Amino acid sequence: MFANNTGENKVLLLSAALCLTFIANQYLWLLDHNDISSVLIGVSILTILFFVLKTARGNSGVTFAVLLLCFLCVMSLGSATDGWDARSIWLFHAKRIYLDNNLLAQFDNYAAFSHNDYPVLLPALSATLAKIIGHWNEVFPKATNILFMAPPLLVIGLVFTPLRFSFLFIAGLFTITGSNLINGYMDGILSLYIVAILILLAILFLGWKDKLNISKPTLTAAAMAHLAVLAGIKNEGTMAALIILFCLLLSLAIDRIRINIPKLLLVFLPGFILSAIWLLLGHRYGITNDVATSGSFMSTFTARLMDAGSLTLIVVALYHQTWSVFLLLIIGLIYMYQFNQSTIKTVGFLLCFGLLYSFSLFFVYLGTPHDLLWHLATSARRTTQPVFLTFMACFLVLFMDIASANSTLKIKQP
Amino acid sequence: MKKSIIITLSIMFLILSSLQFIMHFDSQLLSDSFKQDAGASSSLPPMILSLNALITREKIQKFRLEGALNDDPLLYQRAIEYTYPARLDPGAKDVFVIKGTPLNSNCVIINHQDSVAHYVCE
Repeated sequence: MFANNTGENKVLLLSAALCLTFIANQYLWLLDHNDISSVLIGVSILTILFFVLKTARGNSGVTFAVLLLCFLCVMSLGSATDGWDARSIWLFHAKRIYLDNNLLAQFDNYAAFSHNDYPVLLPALSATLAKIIGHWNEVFPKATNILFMAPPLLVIGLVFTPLRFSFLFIAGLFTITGSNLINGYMDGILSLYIVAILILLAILFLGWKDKLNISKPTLTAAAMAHLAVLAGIKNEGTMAALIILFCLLLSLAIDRIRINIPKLLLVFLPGFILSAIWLLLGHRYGITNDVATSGSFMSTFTARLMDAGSLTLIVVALYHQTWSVFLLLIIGLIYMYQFNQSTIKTVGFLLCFGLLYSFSLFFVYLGTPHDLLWHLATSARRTTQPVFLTFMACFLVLFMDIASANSTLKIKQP
Repeated sequence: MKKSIIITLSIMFLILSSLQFIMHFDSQLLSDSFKQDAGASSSLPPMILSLNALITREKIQKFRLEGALNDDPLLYQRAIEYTYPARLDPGAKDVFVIKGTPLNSNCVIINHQDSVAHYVCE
């Protein structure tokens, strides 16, 4: 059945299969993980990557994605793991899973500074690969994060065609997320998944790129699998999934497109269920989130809302960044050119997400129990990466339409 | 816009944006990346490496930190992460400090490695 699929279908099915393997790995740890489970996951990943390489021969976008993954893997293996989040949260959780042979090791709340409520989808894979290698060290567990980038990068390579647009997207990704792609942080990976999901949903529900030879069931499976991983990357992943759902419903309502509820449930429900399972497990062990529970979120929120100084600090930290220029470029392009309906719908969907996600961050910072200056200084540049990568993707969607030789775009007449 | 201009610009952007990764690249780390304990010396403060060496050598399960090792958040957190599965325990008899840190008279020095000293406090 797989062999009869088109190249695009195969790539998306493989990216979905990779996502599902990552999720299966986490739940195998819950079922008394042993060496056989590690080998099983390792062989599954290698088999999928082998088929990706086979598919890459006929598809320049996929070839580019594979080369990019190799480059990032080498760079990650050749760089020290010295970032705070990388060491104190992600690598430490992975080490605890590996040494305690227990996915829920962190739920004893030892070393509470390491945010023991955070999901462990990526640390669980690092622990599995450490099992395969047979020992722990301070470098390669971080490089397993690169494997997680494979599914969204395959989507990008498939959709941003011709290849020059994939080049532009990756250049933008490298510039916006910087070393967060390879240093063991999750923000670059989170941003990539968000953009890949937005694109898949735009194709599936809004009719963007309808010339791509991808079947609806394949798109549905790919979107569902990516969303399930997104919810397991870090807490912001679930928040992003909720905002994506809201923006999609809003876009469908504005464009008067019939809402296919079973399809929506199929795409979103698995991710939300996996996220809920983790939250319930944490709740059962009495593990809570520092922002939500230390101090009174609502009273801090109200106090800062009335304080012009705090509001200014948050606005400056979130929006006074070079990448805000993409928002101006998008407005400029929409004003200057005419675009087809599906492009406009997609741009509206992406913009809606970018803006709402940034507003959500704004609210989180308003209520943070930590010192506002410290919290903004240590995280705002990272947490806004999904926003600016979405704006960049949005700009590229417009630019692809303008630059396309077959486009019927015309410059607006005054 | 001409296709060739977009291609040239996109390749230039891609190469320029990749340079940031190459600047942090260490080929020695790459060649050691699958060896046991690789990357520790380039990722951690030397004091934490000494602390871990003492804890591993003496097979200590529970320990306590005093002085700068306990007060400096960076050293404290790195010590907890890197020495795991040994655990920090406020009631532990094995105490680690930076050499010269004053301790109670009931503490006896057992060993030291570079700037880190191991005491047992009854």
